[in-house]
Amino acid sequence: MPKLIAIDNNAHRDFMIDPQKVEGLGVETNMVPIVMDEFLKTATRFPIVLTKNTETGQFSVIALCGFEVGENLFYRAGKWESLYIPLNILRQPFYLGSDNSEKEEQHIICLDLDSPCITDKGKRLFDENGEPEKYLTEMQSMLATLYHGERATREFINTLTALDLIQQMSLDIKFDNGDALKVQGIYTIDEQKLNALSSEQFSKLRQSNLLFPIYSMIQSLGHIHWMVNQRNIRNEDAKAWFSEGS
Amino acid sequence: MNPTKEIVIVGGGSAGWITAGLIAAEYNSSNGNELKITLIESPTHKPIGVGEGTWPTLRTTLLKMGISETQFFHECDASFKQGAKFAKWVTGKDDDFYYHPLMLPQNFGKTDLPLYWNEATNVGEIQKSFSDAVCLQEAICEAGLAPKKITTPEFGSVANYAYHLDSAKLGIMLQKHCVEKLGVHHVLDDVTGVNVHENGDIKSLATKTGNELPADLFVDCTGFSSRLLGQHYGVPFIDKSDVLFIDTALATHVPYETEDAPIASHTISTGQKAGWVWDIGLPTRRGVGYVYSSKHTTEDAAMAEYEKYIGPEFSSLDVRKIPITSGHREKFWVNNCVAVGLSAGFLEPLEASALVLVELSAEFIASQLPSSRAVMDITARRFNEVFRYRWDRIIDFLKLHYVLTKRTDSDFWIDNCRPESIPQSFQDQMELWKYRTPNDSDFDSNNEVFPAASYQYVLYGMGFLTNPAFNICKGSAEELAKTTFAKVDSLKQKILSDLPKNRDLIEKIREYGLQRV
Repeated sequence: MPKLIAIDNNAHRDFMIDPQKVEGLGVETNMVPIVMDEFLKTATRFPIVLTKNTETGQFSVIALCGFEVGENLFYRAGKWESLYIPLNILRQPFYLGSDNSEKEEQHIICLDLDSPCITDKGKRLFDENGEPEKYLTEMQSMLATLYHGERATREFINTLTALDLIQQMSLDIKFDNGDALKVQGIYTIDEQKLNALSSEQFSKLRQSNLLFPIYSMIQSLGHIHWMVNQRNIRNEDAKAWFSEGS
Repeated sequence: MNPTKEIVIVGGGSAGWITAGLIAAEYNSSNGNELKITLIESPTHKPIGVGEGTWPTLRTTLLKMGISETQFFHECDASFKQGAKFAKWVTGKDDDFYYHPLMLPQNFGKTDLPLYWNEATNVGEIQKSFSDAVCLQEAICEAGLAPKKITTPEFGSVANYAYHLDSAKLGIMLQKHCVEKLGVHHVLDDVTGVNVHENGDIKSLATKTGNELPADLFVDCTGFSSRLLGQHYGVPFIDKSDVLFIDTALATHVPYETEDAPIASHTISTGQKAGWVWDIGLPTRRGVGYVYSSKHTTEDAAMAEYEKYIGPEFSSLDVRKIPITSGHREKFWVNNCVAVGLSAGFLEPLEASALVLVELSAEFIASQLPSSRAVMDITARRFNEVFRYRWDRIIDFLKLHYVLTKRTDSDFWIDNCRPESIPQSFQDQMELWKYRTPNDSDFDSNNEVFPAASYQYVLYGMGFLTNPAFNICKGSAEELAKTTFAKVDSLKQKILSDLPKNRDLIEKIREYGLQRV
């Protein structure tokens, strides 16, 4: 468990975060949870799919970064090969906590004190007078986007579930080097069922602005081809590395 | 002749609602049918509501009726059942038990597993019970694990499973679903009379409030009273108490000691002096009952044994006593009336055969519903043949659990082994199995209830010895058997670390639900 503590302009006045290291947290991440607000940008680069939380069985929407645990095909040579990096990477090492001492639920920003991204060079959280730096306010708005986005995303998933529009994806991938991989546990939109919806159900989706996210999920699956190709390239590279010089 | 347009089902227990639900689901789904289904239920008679164990078939039944598994877990106080553990049926000692799991032996039918298991045991290569050597389910049950994960879709499984449930709650859920979703008409009234046509068919039922319910087909789900088949048509009852001695049930609900006490994911059946105790774990309580033969013990003695099983809290529990007459009707479908459930018969609670017969009967009626009265007699004849066969085979299989006992501590067990209490056809079958193991060719009817694998689990679980007349093969068949034992071991290791505790999963299902996909 991360060691979370509410940020405070006295205790953390001189704390600095290294954004380079934050991005680096994605190196072994094969799935990053995203929210509805991110669909437009995410869909230009990553497959957007659903996966089940192993503790609750509930669906969440994720940007698929790799085929196996620990693999991120979008992270290479110390940086993301993508203009867009999901918020759930960039907002680290900050978390939203809630303060129940007040009558109304208040949200507070917490910091993971064990995070390797807290360094002695990089972005400051507060200026010398204890005022938040731009970096921190950006983090605040990112956390707010995620918080509100998660609610909308949950409703989106509930709609998909209620209309029975989710289907399991079976990905049987064969790589150039002969390796075969069966990717399990990812889900997507069932196009047949989508097309079989009644006009009434369909126009409800349109009115709720859910057609765009649905179609962008379907469209985004094309990026899987890029990922397969990327893995082939990596396999080739590894071969060169391990091959005995002639 | 008139097409079948109206069905009246009499009785609102599990049998009535399952029958209503399966027929309605079948004909609702093919649009344009004008089949009217009415279920009349007495406002005063309560269903017997004791049966708490099902077969895996209930998953298909619920799915067909369009009930989600999550809803079922919420509304029926349901839990998982991965077969039965039979304790103290062979020697009666504390370490005496065997399993009848719900998964087939690994590679079943591809090699003669019982023979190679026996040989490997004799030479000391294996120190495991038959079911533990050929199937991973015993290990799952012994570890208290669920048969699936929270990420497994509704009705999907990692290990095959059935359910334990609160049957009164099942009735309530099915009633609501049948009426609200499947268009079944529900009438609360008492049947007071039967009006007939000249050919003996039932024309209508007269009710206490002065109404008449006409129909083309009547389904008798009136429980032990067998209001139409037994009382009206006088179809004789074939008593089987000379084969199956159980004639009394004592039933109660036992609270868990703590809220988070483990829930067994299998039925535990424990042999007693004059019968056996069922122990079924639901999420909120256990259902525990003692079924015994009153010819072999007194109620006081039975009660004392029952109390000993349950423990100190026994004195604070309400115990219901239910008489059982083991047997079934000679026919189940007469004229335009068919009996489903206890009205057709009941043997004893062993192996949960009552509810599965309800499902099989309802399924038969739903899929082969006579299009008109003209062809109904053909369907009736087939139904009677099929179900007579099924009752007979179930009787054989239930009797099997008793005839291999080595217990001699009471006349109940001794009498059970007397040849005159064992059907001749079954004695013949057992004679053959002394020289070869049960296989699918012994059970080649389309209407089998218990498959060859079930017979193997019970036979070899109880220490039955098959001495093959021919030397067993040493070649590829033996290799495959050895590979199978090793495969079961390795699968077991993997699955045991992967599956959640039974209670944990049930609580998660109640909190988050299962996904449809």
